[in-house]
Amino acid sequence: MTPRSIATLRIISDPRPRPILPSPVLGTLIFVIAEMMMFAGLMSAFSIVKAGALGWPPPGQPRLPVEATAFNTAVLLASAVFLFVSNRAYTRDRNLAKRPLFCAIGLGAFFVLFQGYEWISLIRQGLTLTSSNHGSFFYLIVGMHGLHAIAGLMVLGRAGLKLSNGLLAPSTFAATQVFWYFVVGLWPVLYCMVYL
Amino acid sequence: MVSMAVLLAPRIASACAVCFSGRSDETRVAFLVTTALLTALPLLLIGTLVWWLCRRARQIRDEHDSASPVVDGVFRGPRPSGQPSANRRAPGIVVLRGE
Repeated sequence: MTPRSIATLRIISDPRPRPILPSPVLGTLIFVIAEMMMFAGLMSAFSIVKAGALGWPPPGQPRLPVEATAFNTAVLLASAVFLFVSNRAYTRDRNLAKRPLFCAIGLGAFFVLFQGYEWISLIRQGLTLTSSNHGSFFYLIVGMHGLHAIAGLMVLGRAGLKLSNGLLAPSTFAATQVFWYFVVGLWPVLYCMVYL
Repeated sequence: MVSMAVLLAPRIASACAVCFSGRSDETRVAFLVTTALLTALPLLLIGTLVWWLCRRARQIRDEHDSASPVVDGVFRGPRPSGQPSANRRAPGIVVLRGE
């Protein structure tokens, strides 16, 4: 016969409250705010020059590929959707998050490569950094976004590798998403201002 | 001829955005709109972030305060063998005192 026992159970909750926001996410948010101000400055300068021009785009300059870039914009937005799906899967089962994450990376890479292809064709047609104000602003604004997209792809790729090895921390994944959503969200604004 | 050249030179250069191209209405409106945008945007972004952080801090504080800091209970049953296994889901420390 097992001896009965009376035990007093005491549960003491952790006195430390959980952090408001993971440090990687907060740092990325502050960086994103700074980059938004930089792009706001560029777009302001562009709109002032465009307002003062007699005609826009300037005569004699090649026309921008509006339709092709609209398709490319849809590709970039789709990459954000896949990243969102990956995040949802990550919270349930990390193995399910790999495929949508790599789809997001693939779509983002397609966007960057297609932009590069468009640049090459525009340069061949005569729109260069020094050909006109139009060319200067186009390559500056779209180029800055392209650099951010490349950096975002590198960060996404690193997250994908870590996820494959089972080492991706939730805070790291969240910070990666913040930056990529910024890159994707900014592009339609730039597209409407520069291309349309 | 020299005086004519001197008089016409500023018109030909038209370099200053305020003195020359800034005179058109569209450019003036663009200056005003972009100045307003660049003034309001950082306040909006940082203000939104601070507001959201304060709101989240309040939510976490409320969750933490509503959780009972100490739960006392009496367990009656056979003496558990070995080390007591802590409930992995519940935060904090589980203390068992057997008698």
